[in-house]
Amino acid sequence: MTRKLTLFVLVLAAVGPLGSGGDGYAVDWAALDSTAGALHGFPGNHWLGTDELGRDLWVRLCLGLRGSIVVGVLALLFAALLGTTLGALMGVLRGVSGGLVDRAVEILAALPVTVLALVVISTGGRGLWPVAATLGALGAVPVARAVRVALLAATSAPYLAVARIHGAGFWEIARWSYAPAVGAACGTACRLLLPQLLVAEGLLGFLGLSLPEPGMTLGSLLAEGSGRLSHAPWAVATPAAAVFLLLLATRSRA
Amino acid sequence: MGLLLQWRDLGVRLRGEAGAPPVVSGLNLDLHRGECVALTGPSGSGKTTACLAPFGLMNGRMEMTGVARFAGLPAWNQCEQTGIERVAFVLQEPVNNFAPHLNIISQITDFNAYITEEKLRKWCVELGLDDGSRLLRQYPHQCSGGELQRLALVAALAQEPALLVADEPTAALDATSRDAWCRVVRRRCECGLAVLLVSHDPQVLAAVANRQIPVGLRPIPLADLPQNTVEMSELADDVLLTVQLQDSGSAQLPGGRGCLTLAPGQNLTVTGPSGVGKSSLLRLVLGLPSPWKGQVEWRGKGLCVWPAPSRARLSSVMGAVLQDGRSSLNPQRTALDGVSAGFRRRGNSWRASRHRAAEELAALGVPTECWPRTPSELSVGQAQRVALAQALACEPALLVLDEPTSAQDLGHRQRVVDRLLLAQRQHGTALLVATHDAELVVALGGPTLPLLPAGPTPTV
Repeated sequence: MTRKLTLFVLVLAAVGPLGSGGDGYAVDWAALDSTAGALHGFPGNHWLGTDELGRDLWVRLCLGLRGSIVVGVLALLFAALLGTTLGALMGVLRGVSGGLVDRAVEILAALPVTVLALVVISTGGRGLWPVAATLGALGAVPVARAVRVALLAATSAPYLAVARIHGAGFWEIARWSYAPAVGAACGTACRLLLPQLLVAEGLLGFLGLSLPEPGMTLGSLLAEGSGRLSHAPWAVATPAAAVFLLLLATRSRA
Repeated sequence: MGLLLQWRDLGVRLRGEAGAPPVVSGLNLDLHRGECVALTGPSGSGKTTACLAPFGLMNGRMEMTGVARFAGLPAWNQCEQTGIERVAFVLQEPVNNFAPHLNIISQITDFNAYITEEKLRKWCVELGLDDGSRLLRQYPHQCSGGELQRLALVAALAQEPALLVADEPTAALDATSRDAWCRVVRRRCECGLAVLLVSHDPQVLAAVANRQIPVGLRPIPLADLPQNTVEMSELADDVLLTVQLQDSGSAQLPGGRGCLTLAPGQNLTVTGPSGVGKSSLLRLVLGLPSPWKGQVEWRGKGLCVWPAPSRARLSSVMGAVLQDGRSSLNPQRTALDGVSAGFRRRGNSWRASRHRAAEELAALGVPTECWPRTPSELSVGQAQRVALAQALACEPALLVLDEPTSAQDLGHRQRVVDRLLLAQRQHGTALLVATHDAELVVALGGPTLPLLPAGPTPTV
């Protein structure tokens, strides 16, 4: 069920915009002029109608979905990479350097997402990479913790001691003991993390801190639509439904 | 109402192994109240699987066929305790009977809050565990294998079961406590407890079992031992290993010595009552976390003062099999892979390593279909032999073995002994073995080191 839903959402993000034109900024002057035009929904060739600038809302919805998925997945990859590295360091390092890494991760965990995003935007500019990096840095914390615990458990396993006594080198132990444990822990943490990253991305988008124009995400569409809530509620309802579908599709099976 | 457990044409097979024979097939059983039936058969014949699978305790790849009924209902839902009649288990590896993060008594009272501590203590005394006041408050890792195995029986009886499933319940016990175990179970049977027993020990079978059901009539072939004619040149007459004990817990070496030595090619068998610290001594020698403290010297060079961060220098001169054979095996690696890794480390090619690993496994009587299986899919006896093969693959100068034959039937035990003595002749391997098994001590020859509890000896 979840797999089919995931496939559906991905297909929607990939080919949905082709439904009517495919350009989220193309202005339909005819729709603006007609009496049944902007924001009235379902007129002829615009499935969800257009906004007050005559831009097709269906196309924008699918493009926003695509933007959210791209940012979320990129942030997840970043979180997996950074989290595994930090977790491995936490699992291996002892003493002062180990303490430093531990504290760094704790500080990272304590940072609120919006503040960090504002700092990144004010210093490093906007765009896909800074947003993904910000979200990924925050998402790295649970991954790092899971990897650290898995690594500590693997290190204290009796069969590892026996393998060492039998002369297994570092690479053999890494291949047969550390890698499976770290891989499993990282995989589990990432599955739990993806929906959280998508929600955080939605928050940033709503505040206008996610992808800059002309890029769009579901968050920024929600922000746009919120101004028209009284006369065109579907302009908010459809991105909200898309967020709901996206979270349903990425939730982990129990 | 007398009939409690019934099997009709019970079979278990592994999914995804189309050609391989089933793990168990065609078992029939009628177990009445107050009766003790023993399943017997060689190691790897599926005794454990036959006991556990009908109650739903099986690996995800297993598939059960046939009928198993407990107290008139399908047996598999008994683990959810839907019925009034309960089943209690004493699992094969003592450690698996308890969760590691709770002390023993809280785990027992979790199952039955109405049980009183006096009653538990009385059972402990009957089983030869002093008065239990110390043991019951301990965590599982603080107890020895034999103590855990008896506590597992106490925990099982505390559930007031109608049926007790006991899988190799005396493997880690010495002769005295084994007899006490038999007495306790016998008396319970007279009060109406049904017992499904798996054991290799003929004395236990004779003392407890009303009848025996053979499992796995298919004979498991034993390959010939590789008869390498290369004999060792005479052994250098020096000292291989010296252990200077600084703190040996509550045990003492015979004669109050604080030091033991081992020459190359020598056998030393450590014996003593359960819980005296045989495993602790072995773990000290191996450099693993141990309650004992001391200094271990290898060929005259001080290698380690415990606690030490690591002892990589010692690698490849020692082979080790820990008490539960399975705990020495990497759960990710197949049997053949784990053993051939030892040959690889010694510089053999991949192909030659696989070939020699296959020879080694065949020599120890691990059947061919088990080679591509991971440890969780092997029987405990097979896993123990794979762990031994893995240790032998290193051609070590010293083999440290903790109860190496606890899960072996008589035929396989003889094969393990023959293989160890062959390694000794070929490579001059010294053996340091901890065991309860008097026959193993005799078969291995060599001096024994009886460990005694310090202080006044307990009256029996």
